[in-house]
Amino acid sequence: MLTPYPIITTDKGYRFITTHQIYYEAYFTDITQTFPLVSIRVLSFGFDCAHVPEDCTITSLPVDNRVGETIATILDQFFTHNRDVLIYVPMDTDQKAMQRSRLFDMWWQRFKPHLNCQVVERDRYIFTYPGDEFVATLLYRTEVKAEIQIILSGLDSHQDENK
Amino acid sequence: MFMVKKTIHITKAEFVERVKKVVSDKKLIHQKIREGKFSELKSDIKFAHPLSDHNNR
Repeated sequence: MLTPYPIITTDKGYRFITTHQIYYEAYFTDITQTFPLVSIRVLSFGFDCAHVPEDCTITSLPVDNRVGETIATILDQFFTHNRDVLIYVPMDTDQKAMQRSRLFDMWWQRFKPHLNCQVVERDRYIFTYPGDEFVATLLYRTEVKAEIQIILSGLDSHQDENK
Repeated sequence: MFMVKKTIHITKAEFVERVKKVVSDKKLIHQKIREGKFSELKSDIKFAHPLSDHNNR
């Protein structure tokens, strides 16, 4: 049984506030137009700390399992009502994208058994382009798996299996 | 469940520009969130509210 924080709808997305008075903003942006040949909607998902109290810093937040439970609940609500594809790209401005990806993976593995929607798959891609690259986790309902291949085959110019 | 892990190389100029826009939008969003100015963000970014309203508590 998950115990997520209450989720508040805002102008640009969703907010939750922890018992430590840390504010989190979660958002979805429609990036369907980025991908050629898609017949389903593609949304980017992200979240970040908006406010921490004076006795905390953004790099030393208290351990709080309910943050992960709340993110998992947001994803569960999303996939319960949508066939859209989600792409989670962790923020990398502080070069901690891989750490965030691992945390996201840990939450997913820990909390997925408690979710209502059990038909969600998760894949990991590294997208490279001239001068840069980023890590992305794709989440999608099993029934749209074929669409994922169309999305990716339309984008890529060369594709390798990771070792 | 098995998780696919692949690298996608994007070289077509058209798609490179689109992907760069997604990445730069994301950086802007997180910058504004960290500054506590997310609600003030004005851009062409298309925010969505895909969660069912009755599920918001």
